[in-house]
Amino acid sequence: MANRYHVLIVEDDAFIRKVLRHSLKDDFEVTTHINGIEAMGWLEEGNPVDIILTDLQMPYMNGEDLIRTIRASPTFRHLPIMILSTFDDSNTRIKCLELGADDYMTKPFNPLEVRAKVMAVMRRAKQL
Amino acid sequence: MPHTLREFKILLVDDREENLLALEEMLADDNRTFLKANSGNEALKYTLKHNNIGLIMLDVQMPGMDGFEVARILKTNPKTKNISIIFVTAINKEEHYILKGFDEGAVDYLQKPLDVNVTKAKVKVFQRLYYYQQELKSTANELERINKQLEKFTSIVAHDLKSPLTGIIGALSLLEMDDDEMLSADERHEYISHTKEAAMYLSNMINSLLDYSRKSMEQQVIEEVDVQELVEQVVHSMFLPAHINVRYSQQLPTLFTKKVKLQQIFQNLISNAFKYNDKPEGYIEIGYLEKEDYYEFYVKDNGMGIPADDQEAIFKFYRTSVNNSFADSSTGLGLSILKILVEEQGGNIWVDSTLGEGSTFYFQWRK
Repeated sequence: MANRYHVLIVEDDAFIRKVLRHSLKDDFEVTTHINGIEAMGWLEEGNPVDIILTDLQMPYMNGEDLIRTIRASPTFRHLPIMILSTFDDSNTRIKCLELGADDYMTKPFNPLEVRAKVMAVMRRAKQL
Repeated sequence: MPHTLREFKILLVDDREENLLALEEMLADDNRTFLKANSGNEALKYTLKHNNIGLIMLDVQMPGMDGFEVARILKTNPKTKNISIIFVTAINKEEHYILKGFDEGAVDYLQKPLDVNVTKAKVKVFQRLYYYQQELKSTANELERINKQLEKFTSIVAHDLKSPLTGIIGALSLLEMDDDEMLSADERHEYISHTKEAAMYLSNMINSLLDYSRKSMEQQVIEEVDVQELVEQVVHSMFLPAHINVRYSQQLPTLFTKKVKLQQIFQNLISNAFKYNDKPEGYIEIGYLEKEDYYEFYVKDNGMGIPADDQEAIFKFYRTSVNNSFADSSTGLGLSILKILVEEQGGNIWVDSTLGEGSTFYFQWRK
């Protein structure tokens, strides 16, 4: 399939990274990084990305700071961001959405649902 | 704090100076201090300025604002409404009626002319009441603090329980979906073994939590702890081999804390430092940095070190370390409990490590 969308996964747990990669690899190009700093470094190298799927609790640069950094960046501010976190309280959801996340899913997750959500967010993003 | 050290502050209100002096002399006692106001207005000012007034001796008949008016104003302000009041009054018929209006709350009256013994006895009762109230208040504050700590603990534990479950559910879903057998035999095997490993961690974590909650009650006691002595005992009880040299960068401090918890932390860190030491001349160095609110203790070794990728993961209940020397030990479980012990009192725990050269574990402990 030509022109597949590229998903950047930011997640510190290796096994969850693997499961996510596996859930998405049939429909998307997938790159994974273990924290916000690495993800930003990779973005700044000029690698192509269409959507970011990130955990919240990570060492060095957590998900919230990653959202802030992305939304403050002239180059990357338009990128859709999806949160995937074990926190399921509405305060955290609201905070993330207000910071600029486009969607929020909780762990544990159903891989099919993650895939469907990423597709849905991409559909919306490409219409804009 | 022992009773004898506690101050009982009495506000005396009377428009006549000689009455104030007479009252002060009559009531003077250890622990008691007096504020004297010549009018209702002045009395109100004192109550707003001093937040630890235990009792007000309030003359009823004063020019301007009378004692009842003062009391009514005090009862409408949340800050002053709980202060005990003793009206000092001649009690004519009208006043008797008004006094009934103050039935609620700690309000009493004394009849003029004052009987010395009755007055002294009544004030003593109010003093005792004040101390009981203070004790209740501090108990309530302490309970609230413990409750907050427990909430925090629960949220940390819930998060740590969910992480392995996320992996398990994700892997099982992928296996379930794999009707067209896209997964290789290796992948399938990997998912199954990860799932099993994650389930084992969950089971171990539940055991540790049960153990933790059993111990937790006895660990609530705060006592004076000589950390140097505590660490030396821990080291002594481990019977370290001769090639492991334990040294201290300085004399460790003495502080008030929950001893068993601090002991558990040192025990774990020192035993890890020894367990993972692969050098012929091993050393373990223990020291601390003093910060404003906490001590930053460290346990340093020249052991095998921890790969950069694993330095965060070792504090989790469920780790997916590639390094089997860590994956197959129970260290992860120990460290994750340590993380909870450190975090629940507001600190952090982390590691600095160079593979092959050694590790330094740091943790912050509240003063």
